[in-house]
Amino acid sequence: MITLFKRRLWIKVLVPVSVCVLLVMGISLWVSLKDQNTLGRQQLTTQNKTLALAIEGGMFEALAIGDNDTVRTQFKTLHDTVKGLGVFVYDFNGLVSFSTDVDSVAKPMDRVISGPALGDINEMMASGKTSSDSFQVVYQGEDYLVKNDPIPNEPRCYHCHGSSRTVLGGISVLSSMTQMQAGIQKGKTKSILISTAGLALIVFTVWLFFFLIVNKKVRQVLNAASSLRQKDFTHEYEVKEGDEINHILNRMSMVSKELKATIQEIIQGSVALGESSTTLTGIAASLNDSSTETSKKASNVSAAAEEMSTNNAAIARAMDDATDTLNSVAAAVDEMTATVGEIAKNSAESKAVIDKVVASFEVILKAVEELGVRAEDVDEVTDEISSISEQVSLLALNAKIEAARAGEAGKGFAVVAQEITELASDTSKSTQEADEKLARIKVTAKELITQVSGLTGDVKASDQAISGIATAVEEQNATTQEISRSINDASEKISSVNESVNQGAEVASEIAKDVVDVEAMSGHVQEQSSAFSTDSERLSSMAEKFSQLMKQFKI
Amino acid sequence: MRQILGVCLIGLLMVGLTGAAGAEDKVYVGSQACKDCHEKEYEKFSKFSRKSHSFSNIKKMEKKLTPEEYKGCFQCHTTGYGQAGGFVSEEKTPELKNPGCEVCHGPGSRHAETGDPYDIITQMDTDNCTVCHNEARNSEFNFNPLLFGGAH
Repeated sequence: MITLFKRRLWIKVLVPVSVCVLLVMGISLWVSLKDQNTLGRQQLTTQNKTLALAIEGGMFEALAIGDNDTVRTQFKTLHDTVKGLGVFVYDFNGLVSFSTDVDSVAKPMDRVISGPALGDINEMMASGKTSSDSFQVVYQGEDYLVKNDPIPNEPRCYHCHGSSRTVLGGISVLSSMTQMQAGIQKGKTKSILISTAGLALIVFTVWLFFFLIVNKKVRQVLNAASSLRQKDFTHEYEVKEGDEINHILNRMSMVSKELKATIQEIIQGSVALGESSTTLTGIAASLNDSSTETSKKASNVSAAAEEMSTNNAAIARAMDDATDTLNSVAAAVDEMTATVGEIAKNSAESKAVIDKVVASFEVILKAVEELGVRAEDVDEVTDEISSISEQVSLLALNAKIEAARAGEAGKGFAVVAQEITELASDTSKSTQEADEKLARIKVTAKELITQVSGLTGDVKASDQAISGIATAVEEQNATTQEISRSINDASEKISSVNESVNQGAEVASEIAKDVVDVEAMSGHVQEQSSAFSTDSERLSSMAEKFSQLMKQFKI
Repeated sequence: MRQILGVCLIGLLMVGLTGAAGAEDKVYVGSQACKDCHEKEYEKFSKFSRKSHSFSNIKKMEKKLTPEEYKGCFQCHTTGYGQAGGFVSEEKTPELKNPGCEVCHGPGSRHAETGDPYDIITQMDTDNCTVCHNEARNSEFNFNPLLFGGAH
């Protein structure tokens, strides 16, 4: 279908035309149906209102004389003879008084209808006014149109109904919409059938129009286009003035003639272009050779510069290694110097301590010797005490004797003499114990003197040894400082050499860079000449092809 | 002749005065009281005169009217409402709840007792009817009064 749309002009015209026609017909049908519906409703409304007036007038006479039975009979007759009709007369309370539906009598109207129609009745009862519209309701399972009308309390009604109320009640007439809807549906079907037939006629007319008027001329245009496609400019088209298609054909003829002249000029130009491109190809080849040679020489220079740069770099690396080594040695020497200094410092401190120990030992030795001397002195004292205690003992013995002589009078004195005797005895014992202890002190003091003397000798020997170490360390320190100075000299000399090597490497690098630039420029020239060569060859080839293409035109 | 006419006129005047004085004692007794003596007229009136059973009409409307409006109906749909011995209510005076013979002929208690034609109105014209059958109702309902209602 899409393919047909793309390939058939008449279908392309037909589709929008059909859409427009369908749109117009659809709108027309919709408006017509809407009008029919509105008209039908209006007719039913008018019919209901007329019926309400007729029924109200018809029952007035009977009601005026209180003949309700006659009114009921009239409603039953109406129910039996007219189908699709419902009439309800109700009082101001909405209770049905008379109806074609006997079952609804004495029941409220909300049992019969609901929705807006019921609201209209309530409004009508309150204000005495009713809507001019009808309302669609569902009554006994079918669609009905109901029109409500009030029954106003007029002077003629006062006799029976009094005059206190403005509205006595209302009358609602329901008419079935089934017949109206069937009629509308029938009209709708008929309209759709007519529209379909009209559309088919339009399709046929459009097709016939294109077949007889357009397609023939279009075929001529297609033939002309086909000749042009086959590069055949030998045909002449004689076209008289006419419609747009003739105009197109005429223009194609003009275009064909102009193209023919243009192609002739192009053929001549293509020959000249071929010759020029051949010349350009030769120039490009020569330029390419020159640039290739330049590039080759630049490559050689670049290689030499690169080799020199590599050597300098190797020297620089070796010098760097030597510098690193010397630096390591210098660091080790510095560390050793620091260590030797530390040792010298520790040796001096050790010597000072030992000197203090020796002095202490000498003081101790003197004290111990003094202790021996003092022990001797104590020994003498104890001897003296021992002698005194012996004399006291003798005196006590004399005192006892004298006391015994004195008899009773000397008894007290005898007791004192006895105590003194015991005291002298205790003193003698204590003195002996003191002698024994002094003897042990003296022995110990001698042993101590011997031990301290030996230790003092050992400590003095150590002091001499430490003094020897300090002397050796000072000599070692002087030696390491000499080594450090030598290493620093060597390092400065190596740095100087290294700087010279780096300068040489920078110069070599500059040379290499320049050579690389030369080589790059040479390569660029070579590329350009190569591209130029390629373009000129392509141009030559195109000129050849173009010449071949031009030969295809028939002029 | 003039003397004879003068005597008759005085006699009639006396009869009229006597009748007028007696009317004040008459009360309404209901149509049933007429039935025994005037059976034929009673049946025709009851059968053919719509007013004879028109109380049912106002009874139907009772619930749709105010009490005052409903009482307003009694003047024409009962017998003797608002007059001595007349209709009071459906419960108290059921025999007077429809317009009966006495609506046109006046209260009939004495006539019922005496049977004397002079004790009841026998001569009447449309003026008796216009109390209920007034001009407005006549034009609205075509309620023209019928003399000899029910062709009695």
